Amino acid sequence: MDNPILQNDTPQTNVNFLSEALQNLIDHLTHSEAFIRFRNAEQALMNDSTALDLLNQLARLQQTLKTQQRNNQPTEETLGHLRQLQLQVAEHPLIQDYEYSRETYIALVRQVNQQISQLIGLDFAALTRR
Amino acid sequence: MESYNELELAPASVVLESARQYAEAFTNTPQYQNFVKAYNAFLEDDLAQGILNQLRQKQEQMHNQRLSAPISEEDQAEVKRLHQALYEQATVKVYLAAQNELVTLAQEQGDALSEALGLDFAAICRTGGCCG
Repeated sequence: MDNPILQNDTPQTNVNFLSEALQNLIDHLTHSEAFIRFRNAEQALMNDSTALDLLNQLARLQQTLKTQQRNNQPTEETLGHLRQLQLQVAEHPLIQDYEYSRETYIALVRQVNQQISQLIGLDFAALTRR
Repeated sequence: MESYNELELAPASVVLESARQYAEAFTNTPQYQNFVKAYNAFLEDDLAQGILNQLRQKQEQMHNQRLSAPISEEDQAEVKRLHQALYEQATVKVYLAAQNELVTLAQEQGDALSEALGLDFAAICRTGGCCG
């Protein structure tokens, strides 16, 4: 395995060093603009009953459609209602902001994983999977 | 490394620098060091590599044949024998044990990361495929 860190550094087998490094990473991630924006957008969404109601309606309708599809009888009424709700959800500014900030935050976390994976020579996130 | 006030936001460059430092700490753990040693020993074990190659060839042959003929009992027995032979190799045993240790450490780290970030770290970083 070709690993520049392993080849050049003296091994430090201190587990505390790893815990500190993890805490440092967490601190920086949770102080990043992407994380703060995401948390603010999430809070704004949770405080908006109209947006939450739209999302709940959409979830219920999607469940209804699944049931109808299992019985091979999705109705035009359900499909029309679904398209209308999807449009309303997509156009809601708080939901838009939440989705956008979530994607930005996730992109940063993925960058972090790429950085770690590149340096350890293994897919770090895949290693952490249970 | 770029510094920032506690009340300010951490730029992406600072986050990525802390990821680099984390990776360095991870590579310095005994679990990672043992894994790399075990992996290299396995790669240098001609007997284990020979068995692994035989196993791969057999599996490829069976994969190619499966559309034209059912898999024979002899082929299945051969694959089982090769698997057993592989797992009996000392370097393979050490490699698998080291891998388990490394995965255990990584899972603990991943759990802490997921909890702190409020997301499933492994799931959101998964690449390719759509499900499961």
